[in-house]
Amino acid sequence: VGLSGLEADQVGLDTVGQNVANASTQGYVDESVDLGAIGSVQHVGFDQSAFDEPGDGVQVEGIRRLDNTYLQAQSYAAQGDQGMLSAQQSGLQAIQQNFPEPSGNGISTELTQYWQDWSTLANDPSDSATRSTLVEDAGSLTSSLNQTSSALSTLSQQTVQDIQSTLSEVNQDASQIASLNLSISQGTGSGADVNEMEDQRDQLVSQLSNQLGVNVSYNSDGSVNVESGGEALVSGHNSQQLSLSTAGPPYSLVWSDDQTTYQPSSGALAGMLDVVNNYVPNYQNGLDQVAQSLMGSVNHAMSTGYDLNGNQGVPFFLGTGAADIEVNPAIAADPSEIAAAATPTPAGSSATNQDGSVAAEVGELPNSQTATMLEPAGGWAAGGSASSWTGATTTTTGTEADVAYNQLVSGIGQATSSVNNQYSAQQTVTTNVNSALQSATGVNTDEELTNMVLYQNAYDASAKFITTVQETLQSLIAMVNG
Amino acid sequence: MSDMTRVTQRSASMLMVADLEQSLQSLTGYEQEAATGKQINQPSDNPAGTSEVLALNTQLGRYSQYSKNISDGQSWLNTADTTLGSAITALNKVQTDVLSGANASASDSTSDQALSQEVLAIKQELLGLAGTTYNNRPIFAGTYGVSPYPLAAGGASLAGAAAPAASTTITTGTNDTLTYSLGGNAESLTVPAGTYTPSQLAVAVQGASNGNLVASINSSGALALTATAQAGGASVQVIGGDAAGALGFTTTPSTVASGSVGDPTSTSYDPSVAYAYAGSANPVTRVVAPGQTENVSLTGPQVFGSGSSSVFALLDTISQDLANGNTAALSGTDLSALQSAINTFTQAQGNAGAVGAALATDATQASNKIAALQDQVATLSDADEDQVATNLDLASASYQAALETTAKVIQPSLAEFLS
Repeated sequence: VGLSGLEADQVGLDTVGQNVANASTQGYVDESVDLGAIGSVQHVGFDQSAFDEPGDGVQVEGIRRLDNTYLQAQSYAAQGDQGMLSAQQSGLQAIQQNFPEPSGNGISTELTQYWQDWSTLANDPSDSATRSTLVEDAGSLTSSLNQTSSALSTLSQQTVQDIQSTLSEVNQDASQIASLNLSISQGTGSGADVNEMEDQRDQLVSQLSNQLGVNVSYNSDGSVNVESGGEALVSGHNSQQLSLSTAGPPYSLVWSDDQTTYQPSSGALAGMLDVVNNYVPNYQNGLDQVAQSLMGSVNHAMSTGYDLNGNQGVPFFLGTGAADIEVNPAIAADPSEIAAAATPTPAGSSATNQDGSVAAEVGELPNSQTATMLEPAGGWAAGGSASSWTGATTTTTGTEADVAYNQLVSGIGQATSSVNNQYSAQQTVTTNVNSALQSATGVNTDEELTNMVLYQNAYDASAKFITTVQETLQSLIAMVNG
Repeated sequence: MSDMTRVTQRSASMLMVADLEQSLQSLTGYEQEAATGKQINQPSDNPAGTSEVLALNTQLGRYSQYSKNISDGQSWLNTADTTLGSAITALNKVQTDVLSGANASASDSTSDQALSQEVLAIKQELLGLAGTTYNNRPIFAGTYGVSPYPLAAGGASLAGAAAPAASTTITTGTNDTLTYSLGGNAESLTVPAGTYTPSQLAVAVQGASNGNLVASINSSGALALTATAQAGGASVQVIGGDAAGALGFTTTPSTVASGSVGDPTSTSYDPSVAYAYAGSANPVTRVVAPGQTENVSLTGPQVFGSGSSSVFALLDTISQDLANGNTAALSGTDLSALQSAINTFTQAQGNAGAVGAALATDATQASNKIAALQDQVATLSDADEDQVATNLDLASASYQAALETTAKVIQPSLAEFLS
């Protein structure tokens, strides 16, 4: 009986040691020793006395993980949301960096300069220096549009790579969880201690929940099922893999088991998919609208005007969108082809055309919200060649370029600011949930040390009991011998 | 901090780290504001404000351009004003000459000749003034960059037979040529095939002449071919060619026309050709505010007139009347015509002054608008320095307080008291 006490206290002290050693280990769940009294042996036979006998001591029934599945699930959900917001936030911030507004170094300043150049040309339509300045400034405006567009494309490509590397982590985590599940269920069956394996597995699930929103359910054999969007990523000791669809945007995830596609709604993967599927395409589209408004409005004006050589205007810009907008190479080579005049000089006249009314009209475009635009024959996709700007073109009314750009930038600012706010709110939630989980399942060293003193005293007491029993027996033997 | 009953060392440190991070974040935000002096450093700092600042900057760009347009218009008008002033002075001198010529005795022909020459010199001065440029651009030629009266110094002129009415059309065939000579050198031009009204045909012939000829329809409706100033003084003769008939010339060589259209003493004198206006009637405008333009131009005809009714033709007449001692004309029609010409110039100067005053008002409005816009942009985007400094102090103090508190709160555990 005394020995059982010593043994139990020994296990208690060992557990205290383990807890204190792991007080700072991430994912470690506090453990406690379950002790139970050993009942007395029932006397069978004639001597079924009515009095109680003392029990046969104490035994260790198990070392229990003080886990809390309710808080654990909340923590997974919070981490999923935070993972998503964090990916959205870094994507949007990277997008926003390409729009250095309203600092004066952005496209808006170049637009203003560009319109001013047109007005200056209207004041002195035949001056070749004024024409060259316009061509140069228009060129730097178009290259800014080109660069911003390509920066957005690069960002999208990088995010796709990030998604792929995150997916390989997710897949690795999933198969590791499945193999830990197997060991845990075997260990539980044979009664072995599986607490540390459970800690490790929960840690992996926690990592996973950051990258892909997951739901976790517990099986009776100690294993867990991890599912996302209704499909099991880990089921007992089986797991499946996720991959990225080959074509996109829009991209989606593909389950290896049944090849169905999946758009996660939580976790870093959801956020990154949002960046490549929604944010970048939206803002590329917005930037294209700016470029198309520039092309359409100026080219429309050019089609009504005459250049210095008395010819009808050629398009000033060529291109299909922000990625490839350029100053018409013919105009870049010979700025006298800019059609600044509304009427030509009479044929045969040696007069240079000093009429700048079309240039003045172009310069006034940013005063209105809309602009009359020429659309290339065959639609915007055909706008890359000068010939598509003549013939079967259509005239539409579109948003003026500065207004379109303003909408784009404030849209990006709005989205970024909203995600920033959501992210910091979510950060608080996640910290609180994780701290609550830590409070419930973590190690309090004061508590452990108190337990240590308790076990130490109990050990002393058990030892004292053994000594006392021994002394009693010795006295008895001495009496018998004596 | 949470109100959990059980607190573990790790949960406590988690919350403290989160609090510290938050504190540091707001400190960094204020630091950026203080460093850049701007409230809005990226669109997400204030999306609505960013949008407003961008729109205001667009407007600001427009108004600073208006301001440039206005000052360009003012310089243009100043040039016009000075030129008109010089012209008025010159014309006043002519008036004196006319009066002294009208009152001189008939026998005093030497001084009349001198006065006549002086008037012709003043005509040249006025022609020079009519060609005044601002920034390399003739100010009395409307929207054409051309000397407004290019043929004043032109050569001889030759007119064909009276041409058909202005409404008839003349058809030319392929490779219809006209051969002519300038100062004895044979030249040839090919009229592009097509159907023309007489005035269109004149334009086509002139275009085909390589700058040698100015073709116009003269007062009797005939096609007149005049040697340009660059072929100045040259004699003109039409030799023939299959287009000659269509143009109103015979196919046999015409008489040789010599002299100059701008020389009143020459047989070729033709003020309708010499002083024909080559500029355009289109006004030159400056955009001074959204949807608002000011007309800064005075075209040649508005001031100097054109053809036979031009001030140049008047001076030619006066110089001839002086030379011939025609005192009746001098004191009669010449004087009254001169007076009305001076009035025209004075009025033109007055108009230029009125537009100048309007531009001055526009300039004030533009600069007021610019100041107002800059003010609005500053209010929206500039950081309030005092506010930022205070916020920065507060944030920095609260960060330090958080650090100190954290240091104290990470308390010693029971371990330190067990021996």
